[in-house]
Amino acid sequence: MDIVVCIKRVPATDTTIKIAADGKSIEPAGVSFELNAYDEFALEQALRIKEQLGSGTVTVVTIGSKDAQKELRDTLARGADKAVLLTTDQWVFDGASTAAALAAWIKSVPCNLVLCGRQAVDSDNNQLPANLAARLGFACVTEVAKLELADGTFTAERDIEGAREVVTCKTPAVISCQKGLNEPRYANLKGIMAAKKKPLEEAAASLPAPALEIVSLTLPPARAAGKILGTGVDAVPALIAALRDEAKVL
Amino acid sequence: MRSVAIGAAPRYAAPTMARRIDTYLKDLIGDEKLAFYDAVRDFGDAEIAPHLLHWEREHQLVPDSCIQAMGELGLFGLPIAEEHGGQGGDHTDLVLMGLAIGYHSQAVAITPGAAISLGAKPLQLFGTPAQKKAHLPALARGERMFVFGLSEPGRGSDAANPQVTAVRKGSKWVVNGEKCWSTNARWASHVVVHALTNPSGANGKRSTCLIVPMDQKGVFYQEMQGKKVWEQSSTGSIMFENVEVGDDAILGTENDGFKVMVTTLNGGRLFIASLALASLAFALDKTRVYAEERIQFDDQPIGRFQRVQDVIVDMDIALERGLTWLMHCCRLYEQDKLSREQAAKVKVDCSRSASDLLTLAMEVCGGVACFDEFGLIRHFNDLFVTRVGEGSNFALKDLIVRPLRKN
Ligand SMILES: Cc1cc2nc3c(=O)[nH]c(=O)nc-3n(C[C@H](O)[C@H](O)[C@H](O)COP(=O)(O)OP(=O)(O)OC[C@H]3O[C@@H](n4cnc5c(N)ncnc54)[C@H](O)[C@@H]3O)c2cc1C
Repeated sequence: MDIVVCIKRVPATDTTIKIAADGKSIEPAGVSFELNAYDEFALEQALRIKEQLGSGTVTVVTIGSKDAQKELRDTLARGADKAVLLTTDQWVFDGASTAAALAAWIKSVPCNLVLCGRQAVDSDNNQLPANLAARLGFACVTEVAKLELADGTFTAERDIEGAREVVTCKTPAVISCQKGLNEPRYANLKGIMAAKKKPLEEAAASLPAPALEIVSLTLPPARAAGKILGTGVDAVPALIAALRDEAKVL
Repeated sequence: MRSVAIGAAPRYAAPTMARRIDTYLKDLIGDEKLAFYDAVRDFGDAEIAPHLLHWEREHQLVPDSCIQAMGELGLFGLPIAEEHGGQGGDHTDLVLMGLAIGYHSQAVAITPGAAISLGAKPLQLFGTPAQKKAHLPALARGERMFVFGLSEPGRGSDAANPQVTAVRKGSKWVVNGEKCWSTNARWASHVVVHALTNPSGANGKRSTCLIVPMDQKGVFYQEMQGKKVWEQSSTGSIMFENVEVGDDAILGTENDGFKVMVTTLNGGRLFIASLALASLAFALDKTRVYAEERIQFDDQPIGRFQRVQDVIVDMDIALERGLTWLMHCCRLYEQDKLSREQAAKVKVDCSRSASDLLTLAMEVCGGVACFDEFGLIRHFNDLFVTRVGEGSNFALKDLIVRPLRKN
């Protein structure tokens, strides 16, 4: 099976975000970036499927600047066979144009299965998997928490409101991966050294004009200082009053 | 396996400071080495740091599951050649592992650290092709470990004249006596015993190294009790009672066993230096973050006091100096150009600066530094081992002074 894993380089979850001077983007200086955490599950699943079948390829693709080579090398070190960087200097924020560029490239390579994270933790759009599947004409299963492959059929489990749904699908498919699907591996030294010899190709991303425009970006308001209403049981009436009248949550 | 943190850290929370050591390493090593360091650091953050306090409070040695995970990561086979099932790395990789894991716990780091630098290393340097083939693949996977059997109850710094003896009896050697301070004894498959074989030989030519299986008849191991340093590391004493091995057990040459031991220690001392710097790196980050958080007098952080800043700055200087020097020594070691004095010097300096500075770092943090969960006391205790282990600093100065006294 030829598997494509779509990954994204995102600001590290513990980094401090500053808004850039234009008020519409984030200031990249001083921000540390990392591989989107959900994409780690996608990569791991791809490697496991390849190991299970004993054949096939795992190709990792991302759209971005040259800086994303670091994350791509990391995926090669963990076991991907090949990495592709679709280059652009633009900040790609919109799921539709990302999906268009990825779909255009995926159509040009052998691919029966696309794995991605359920969402990128920077923009949290949650759009790409479905949008990509529609453009490719592939089946689509999102937010998969358990995945099995037997006799060419995938059985996927998804957590839906208060229940677990089980669906099956055949290839070609786009499957997006939820936390808990697997435990991603670490790169070992041998993998890191082997990664140097694996192909990391670059091609220009064919991005259409964005379908959305970011009008403004603001940080959430700073949290107000807490208030101590008293201690012990005696403080409970004051707490209830404050929750009802000030916070209006009761 | 990697635990992935999602949403664990609030996105807009106060910045967690980047590790100071990472900024220095970036300039000292290439991308590939950095990627390896990052992977081991992430492993330490996710798989070791969260459990340490529990292991300590339960007085537990490194759990088997952790040893297995480090084995899967390839840590036990770092500088072992690929043809022998290792990772094909070099001494710098070993030292980077010490820095990455020692940042949390020297005791955990020394487990693969000693398994390689004291266990597998003499075999790599002096083993016959048959000995290498028999042991290196299992050592590389962490399934087997060799103990470095140099120290004895009666022979510490004066190690050239062991009280453990090996006497020839027909085609066999019969070993008697006791080794102690044996790191990794709990998990060891074999011990390389440094034994007296030729009492009338010249000094340094009286001993032979023998590879003895731990399950051989007459070998008894006991964990040394009451040790308050490197608490998660196994330190054993090993007794030999008429233990018989053949000539194929000899590692290196008969009556030239001391050379096997001291040559091995050269690389080991670089690893000990890495542990000292790892503790210093942790203490630096802990102290500088705390100094900005702890408010005393006038609603201001203690980090504004120059006497506090002095300690932090001195730690920073010692860290950058030590790392630069250590990486230089690793390069010389790989080119086979590192002298015994150079290895001794970097070990002496890193261990004493780090442990002296730790005392001051704890003073900067105040009473909170007494608590296990704050982390500094663990590094403070462990740093003591770096001063005496693999050659007491005082004794090593005898070695360092030699070229200074020649005409
Ligand atoms: C946790 C731990 C793990 C260890 N692991 C191992 C291991 O795996 N294998 C192994 O073989 N050994 C191991 N060792 C032993 C270690 O190498 C010895 O502790 C070290 O060589 C010092 O020997 P000693 O403790 O017997 O001190 P001694 O030799 O008794 O010396 C005591 C002190 O006397 C002074 N002194 C001694 N000689 C001189 C001199 N020439 N000049 C000036 N002062 C001197 C120093 O202050 C020295 O610290 C370990 C030790 C520790 C603490």
